[in-house]
Amino acid sequence: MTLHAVARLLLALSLAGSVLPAAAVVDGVATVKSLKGDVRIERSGRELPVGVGTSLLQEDTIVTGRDGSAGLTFADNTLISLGARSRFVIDRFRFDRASNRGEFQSTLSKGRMAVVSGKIAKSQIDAMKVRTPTSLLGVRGTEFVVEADR
Amino acid sequence: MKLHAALLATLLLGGCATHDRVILLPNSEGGVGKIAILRDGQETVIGEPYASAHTDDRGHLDSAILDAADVRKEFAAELAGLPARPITRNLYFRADSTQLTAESEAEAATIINELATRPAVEIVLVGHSDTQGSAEHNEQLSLTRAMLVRARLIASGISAFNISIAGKGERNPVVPTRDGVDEPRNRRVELHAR
Repeated sequence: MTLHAVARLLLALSLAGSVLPAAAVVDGVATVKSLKGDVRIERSGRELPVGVGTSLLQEDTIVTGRDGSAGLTFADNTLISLGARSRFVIDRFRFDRASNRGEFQSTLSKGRMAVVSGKIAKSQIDAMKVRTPTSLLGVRGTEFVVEADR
Repeated sequence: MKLHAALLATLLLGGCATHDRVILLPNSEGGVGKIAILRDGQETVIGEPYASAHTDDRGHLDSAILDAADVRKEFAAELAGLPARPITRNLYFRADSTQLTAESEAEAATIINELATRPAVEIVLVGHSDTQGSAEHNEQLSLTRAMLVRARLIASGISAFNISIAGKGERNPVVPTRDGVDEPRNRRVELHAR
């Protein structure tokens, strides 16, 4: 089989025949990777159904209940694990894939989270910030846990 | 001294309505980052493994070094809930071919099996060639290489909608060469997954 024949065959077999990135990869700033118990997303004042694979946008709020938890992976490879009884807002998320630069501001107004920072935190000092009720944190590297409103 | 600081923090924070804390952890490579607590144009930086900073609504800020095992236990649920670490791998191909090298073939099987277990996995494949053959042929070859890896991922049960692909031909070599050079390290598909 010639190279072109192989390419044509693969194109025909593939569901997403275009070379454009899949929608889930482009649109959202983060993807929900895991869910447990009661987890809600608030977007523009409305509550959204949430599942594994749901895309999150800037200004979304994620709320977990007494038995709830959620694992989120962001477009810059930041990982966030939100614990029970928590409220987390993606205030601002900008990421340029080509330069790996961006800005990520979020608020944990109550509850707990574990964080592994990604490319944004590495790109520039304090490009990633986390707000809690009584502090503003400039993230200058990698792994930490935060507890808010104890 | 550490105990004293922790005790002092407890006493100071005891009566407050709201207090928060951040605890720095060592990263997976064994190093440790830094966190700056930013207030009124001033910053307090913590930069040791298991260093914590407590803040409250009276403006207090106290730091201490905590016990690693205690922190791991207290935050066990949150730490266990972190999504899988993103990965980047190169898969290498035989000359002017869409067949993986034997070594990459074995590695591909392992990687694909692992990725198939990730919930809502997101994968980007970027194919490349060396400079042997025409630039146009290499554009097609690099894209076909990416398509082949995609077909393998789909066969393992991963949705095509979670995979994006591109072919960069001979334009992005790892090892720059003049035209017409057989360079195994440039015949690759970069796989980025999270």
